[in-house]
Amino acid sequence: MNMAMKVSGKVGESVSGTRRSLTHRLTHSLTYFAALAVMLLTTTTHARINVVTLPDRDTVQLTIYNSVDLTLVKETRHLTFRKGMNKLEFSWANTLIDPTSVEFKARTHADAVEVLDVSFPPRVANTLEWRINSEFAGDVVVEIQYFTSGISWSADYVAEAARDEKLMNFAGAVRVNNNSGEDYENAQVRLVVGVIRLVEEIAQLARRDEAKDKAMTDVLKSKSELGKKMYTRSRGARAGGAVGGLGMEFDGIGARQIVKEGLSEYFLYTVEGRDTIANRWSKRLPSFRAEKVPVTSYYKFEKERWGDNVMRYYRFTNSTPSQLGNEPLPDGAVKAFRIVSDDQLYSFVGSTSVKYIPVNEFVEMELGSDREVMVKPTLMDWQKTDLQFDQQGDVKGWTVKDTWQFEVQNSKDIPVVLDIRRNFAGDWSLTTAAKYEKVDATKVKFVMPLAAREKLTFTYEVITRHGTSATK
Amino acid sequence: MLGCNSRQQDTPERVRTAKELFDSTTKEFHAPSAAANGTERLRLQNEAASRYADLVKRFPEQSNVCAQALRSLGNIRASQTNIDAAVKEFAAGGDRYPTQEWEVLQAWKGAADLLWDAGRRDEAKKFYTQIVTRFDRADESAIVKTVVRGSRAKLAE
Repeated sequence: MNMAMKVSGKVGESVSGTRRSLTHRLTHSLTYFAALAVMLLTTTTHARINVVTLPDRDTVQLTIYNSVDLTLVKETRHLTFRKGMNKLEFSWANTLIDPTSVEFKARTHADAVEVLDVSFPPRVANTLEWRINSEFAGDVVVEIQYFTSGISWSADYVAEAARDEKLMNFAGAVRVNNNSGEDYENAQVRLVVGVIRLVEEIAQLARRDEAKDKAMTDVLKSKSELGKKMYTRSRGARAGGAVGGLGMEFDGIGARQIVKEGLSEYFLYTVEGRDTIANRWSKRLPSFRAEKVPVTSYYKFEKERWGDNVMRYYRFTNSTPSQLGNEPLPDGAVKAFRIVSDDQLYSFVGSTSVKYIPVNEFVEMELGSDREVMVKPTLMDWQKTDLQFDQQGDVKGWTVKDTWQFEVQNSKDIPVVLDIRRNFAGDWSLTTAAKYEKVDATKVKFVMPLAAREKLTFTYEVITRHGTSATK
Repeated sequence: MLGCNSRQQDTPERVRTAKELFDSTTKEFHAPSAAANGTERLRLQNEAASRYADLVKRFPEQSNVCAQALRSLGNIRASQTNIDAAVKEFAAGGDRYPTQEWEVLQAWKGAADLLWDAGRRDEAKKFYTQIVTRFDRADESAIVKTVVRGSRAKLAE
């Protein structure tokens, strides 16, 4: 995207302005030629019109909606206005910018700067030209805002567990993918986590073939209203501020107000610092790092779900006592490692993906099977008793008694917690010396801490009554 | 000129092909013509115009790209200082694809400004009037409101 500014007045401006112009033109060759054509045209037909400056952006902020292909761009530039009529060009050629959402605002001297008209110069496609009257001569900070498609983000996490798997370092990063057709230098990146119903509707309509039909236009009006709403809020005091040590900001202002208005629940993250998000580039930005997060290494066995495998989980809570809890954590991929030697050598534990994790939410990351924890169930005995017959001699009731033995072994050099789940159907009752807990009408769990290298055996007997033998 | 045929099948394949044809025409011929001079500029413009016209003929049911193609044709004619032809193409976009509001707005404004700058103010005012009549709505986006405001100002002159 390119902006060229023409003002009435004498030729000859600052060297710095010219240098900035050249830099900008080199990186946007297509629009440079368009701007050059403008220069030639205006030089020959209007002697008192000249291109004064083509400034780089001073700031740019990207607010990327995770659930849809939509990014709100807010950029500011210093422009030199002459008193009277000024012209400013904005091109969205070769980008995915939504031109109907483009807005111009003077951030300084707003009372003296007024946009009188917009035209669409025929000499080059996809360009608009603002005609701006200024009662002020000098530098004005202007803000251009618009929506674009083609920018997306995803979160990922790295968990580094200590050797004893009781504490871990937990770091989050954000990968921003830019296929919008536009480079964004030194951009502040804000990420919307959660779902905004209105935006989803926009995306749904935007995906339709008739992308610019009446319905789309109606929604874009709404989108524009949403943009205004967000801008209004972002200008307010930032109640959230930086969250201690995590390098991630939570700006809760918009979120809370939107929630009150019943749009939906969402959170706005601001990734610390600024970075250049070039077109056709993917960039991974660090977002937070928490150290010494309490973690539990937890193992599960459930034949019906995982066969003979024992599954490993890391469990923690997204809470302040756990060195987290300052904000919800967005969906993302997790890679887990564990320190396995005194010289801090890491071993890959597993990878998984986590869903959106609200504050104070308990988290369980499934990291795949682990052969170092073994569970071996064996059916030791099976009896069918209490047979009952109807008048035709057919069996109408019976009882089955199963006796199971479980061999459990922890081959690891650290203690673990093992959770064995068993499922029963019908009218059943369980007898065992082992400690167990009923999960629901058809499931029990045996949860047992296992010391390093510990091996143990337990048994249970389950009686299942069928047919007329059933008592419930 | 070429018309809209709503009976054409609006298949994903046709949507994609029409979009690709429009994009390639813009990228390979229309946009480069802005930087070219003399006969090369004319050659690029004519090639772009030919392809835009072909697009409208072959894919008349593709409202969005056809409306863009007609506006681009208008822009090419305007660059060639052929005002009457340009206005005809701009008007055609609004007539044939009235649901493409953003394209209609740009086409009408392009036609109006072209006529205004050529001193044909009465003709220009017809387009400014159309803009105000159709787009002067409270819930329009900021840019549309600005176009309406500018059009209203021209009508007052």
